[in-house]
Amino acid sequence: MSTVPTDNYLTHSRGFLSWALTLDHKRIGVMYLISTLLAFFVAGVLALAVRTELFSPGLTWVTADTYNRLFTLHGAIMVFLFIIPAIPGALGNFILPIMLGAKDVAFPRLNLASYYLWLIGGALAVFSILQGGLDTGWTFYTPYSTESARKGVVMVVTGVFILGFSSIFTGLNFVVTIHKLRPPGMTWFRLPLFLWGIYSTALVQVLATPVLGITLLLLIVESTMRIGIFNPDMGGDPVLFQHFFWFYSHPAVYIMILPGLAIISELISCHSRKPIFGYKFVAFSSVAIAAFGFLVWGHHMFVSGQSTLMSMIFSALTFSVSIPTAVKMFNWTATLYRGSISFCTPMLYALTFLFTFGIGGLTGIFLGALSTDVHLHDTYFVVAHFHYVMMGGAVIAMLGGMHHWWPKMTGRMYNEPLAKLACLLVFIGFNTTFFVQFVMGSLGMPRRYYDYVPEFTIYHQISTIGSYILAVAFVLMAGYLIASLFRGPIAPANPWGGSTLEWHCASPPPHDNFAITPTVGEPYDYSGMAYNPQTGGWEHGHPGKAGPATHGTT
Amino acid sequence: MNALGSLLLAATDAGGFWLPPQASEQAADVDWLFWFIFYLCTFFFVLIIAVAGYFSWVYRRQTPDQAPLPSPEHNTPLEVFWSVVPLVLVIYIFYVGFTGFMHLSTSPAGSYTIDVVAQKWSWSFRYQDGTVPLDGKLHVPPGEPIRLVMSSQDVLHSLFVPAFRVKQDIVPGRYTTLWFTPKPPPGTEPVEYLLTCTEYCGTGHSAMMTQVVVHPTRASFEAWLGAQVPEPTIETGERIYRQLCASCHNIDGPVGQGPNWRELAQLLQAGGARTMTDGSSVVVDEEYIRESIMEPQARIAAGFQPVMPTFKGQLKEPHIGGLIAYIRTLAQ
Repeated sequence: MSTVPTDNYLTHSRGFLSWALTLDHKRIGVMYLISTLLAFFVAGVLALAVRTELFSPGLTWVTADTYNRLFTLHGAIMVFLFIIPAIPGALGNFILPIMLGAKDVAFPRLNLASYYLWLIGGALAVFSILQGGLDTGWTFYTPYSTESARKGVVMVVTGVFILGFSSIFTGLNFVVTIHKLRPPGMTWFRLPLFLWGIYSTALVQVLATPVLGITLLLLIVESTMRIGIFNPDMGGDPVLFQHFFWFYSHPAVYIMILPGLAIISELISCHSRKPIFGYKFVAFSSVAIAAFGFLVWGHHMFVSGQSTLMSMIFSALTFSVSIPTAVKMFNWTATLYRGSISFCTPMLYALTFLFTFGIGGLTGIFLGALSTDVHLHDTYFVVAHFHYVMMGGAVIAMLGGMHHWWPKMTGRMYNEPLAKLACLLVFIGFNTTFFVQFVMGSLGMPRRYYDYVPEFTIYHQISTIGSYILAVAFVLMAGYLIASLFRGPIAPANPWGGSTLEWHCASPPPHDNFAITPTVGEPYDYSGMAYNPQTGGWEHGHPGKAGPATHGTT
Repeated sequence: MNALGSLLLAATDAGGFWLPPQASEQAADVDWLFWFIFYLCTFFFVLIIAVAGYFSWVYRRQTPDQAPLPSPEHNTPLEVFWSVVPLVLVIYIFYVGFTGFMHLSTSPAGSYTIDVVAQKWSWSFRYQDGTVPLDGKLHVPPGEPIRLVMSSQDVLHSLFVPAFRVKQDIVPGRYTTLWFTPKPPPGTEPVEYLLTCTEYCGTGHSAMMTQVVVHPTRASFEAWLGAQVPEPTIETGERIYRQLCASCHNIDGPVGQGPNWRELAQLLQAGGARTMTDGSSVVVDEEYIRESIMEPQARIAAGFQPVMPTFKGQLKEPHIGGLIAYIRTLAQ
């Protein structure tokens, strides 16, 4: 196990077409990883442009119109091209079939199609935003987005809907794969928690995304047949658009965060060397979050003009989501008790997650409560809250997952001290950027503001400096990760002592993952392996083991 | 400024590190819930981080193959306990938030009603006697409930007064309302609070800002109201320009969303003509300017988009007379 096996999924076949037409879930996962990280980079640069403009009141370096387009693109790319597809598309595709001991997902061709739909939908959406100079924000609220001077919105929503289909295909594939391709011995309650999370996500992807298609259809009907649906000039109702938009986009929030929660369960278990405390509570909490997530869209609309009765119902339902989320936080913390806790980089991200997602989740209570939301709605408090959830939650978890599975995906180890430094910089930069936004928001600073009263200058400046620290952290991360591909030490099959099946096959895995379908026992049984100081990895097959009968290579 | 000190203390009338001043009767209720949630969240956050940090440190791995100590894999009573405790707490928070919201949503009978018209990118206020404030600010008497009946000329807007803790979207095609009871200012001078638009509405969104002026007494408010009959003077025109026109029409500098007024004034003085988008030519005179304000879509100057809203019903004769008088002064 100390050398890279000669035949792995990277070397199995060569040439551009062998990647472009691949049906291998691992290659599709890698393609998703590279593409979504590219989208993250572009949207991150846009974020820096936005923060730089906000460094001082009034004009700093771009005009109001340019600023509005910058934040629209930042939001649209981050949401539709990065956060929604990144974890299921990249880590889900790569890890899920191996965790199941399967050769691939259930529908490999559908999987490749979903990647190309992502490319086409993404290109169409970004092109039409740029083409139409769209400055509506990623929420495309009518009637602003459908005014005569602004043509692009139907094309953008078409692009987003194609992206949605990419998401549906991935979700459908994962649902079927988890139902049908589990190995002998893997009952539902022996499913690794990552798969519970991805499974819950996949259900939301399949069920919520069609609503986006209905919204698109109604927009087209309105603009071509002049039937008033959202436009008040034709007898429509702009608030109806918000209902449609959030009926998809709120469950989409759970498409973004559930895979992150799922990764954290894996990281905390593996790097504490013990099963997650209260496996069933954690597993069911994912399903509960996915289910409740469908019923809370109206909490985006407490001051929109919807009836007070609806606001009351949505507020009550919103709090129901907080319970399974709180359960996860408590159970993760309890898992650490009497564990063997490693401070390797993936675990540092998991601990960072407890901090940042903890703040993100708790500040949601201010916004779920009706009377405080009236004051905080559409201020920087909301901006800070969803960045703490989306970036402090989903992105931090994804970074943890990336560092956790990087050796598996690439066969190389990255520079650990530099990775720890980058994690520290992400922590400092992130909190510097976004914590002050809570303060300025509760003081009354509205969001999507190009200009602001001078009293808010100091908060904006701290926030902008924080975003530069984040930029440095990400440049450093890109540097050592890319360097590891060429100069990194060869990764052992199981560098962390992981118990789930992906750690039983070689790093990087061979084309077929497993020569013989493994039989599994409990997912988090850490007893059957021993540390080998020579390789720096863990080896299975020692007395007392409950793992599979075979190794990945034959 | 002792930031740490005010961080730990609840907001007072003067405002603190976290919240703006409490300038309405409703603000204290909203703030009470804010602080209840704030301290509760702080407690749970500190608890989780302290416990997680303590466990992480005490049980840190000191040799690569260190095994964990024996511990239970689950404990159902404990897990039910930490599901039920947050449940009870959020039910209470929901209840307080809901009753507070009902209070914020239900204006008392007999409230003093003011009409608000929002449009890109300005606010207009109209009192029951038809008065439109000359300074474009929302003037209110102290200590009595004020009800705003709001409509939009174009897209979604939202009226937000941070010091009052009130906010309501303004939706084209329907009326929405909002109410508050301003606290009397401490001294004998009127006090101003920021009033902003918080629903994104395009280029001038962040410029869509004005003030609420709370008068010290009902009498001083009435006196102000009585003095709002405008004269068609240059000063009236300049005030209206700053309040309603300046976000699109520059005098000097780069061309905004609409034509520059220096150029317009020069054409007006010289009796010059201007080309329209349909290729026709129009002599710039007083009637052309009036038409451009009241029916802006009738003729569009070449090179511009038809984006200007009408000001019919908002601007009266003395206002237009003032604007024309002001434009005349710009020809030099």
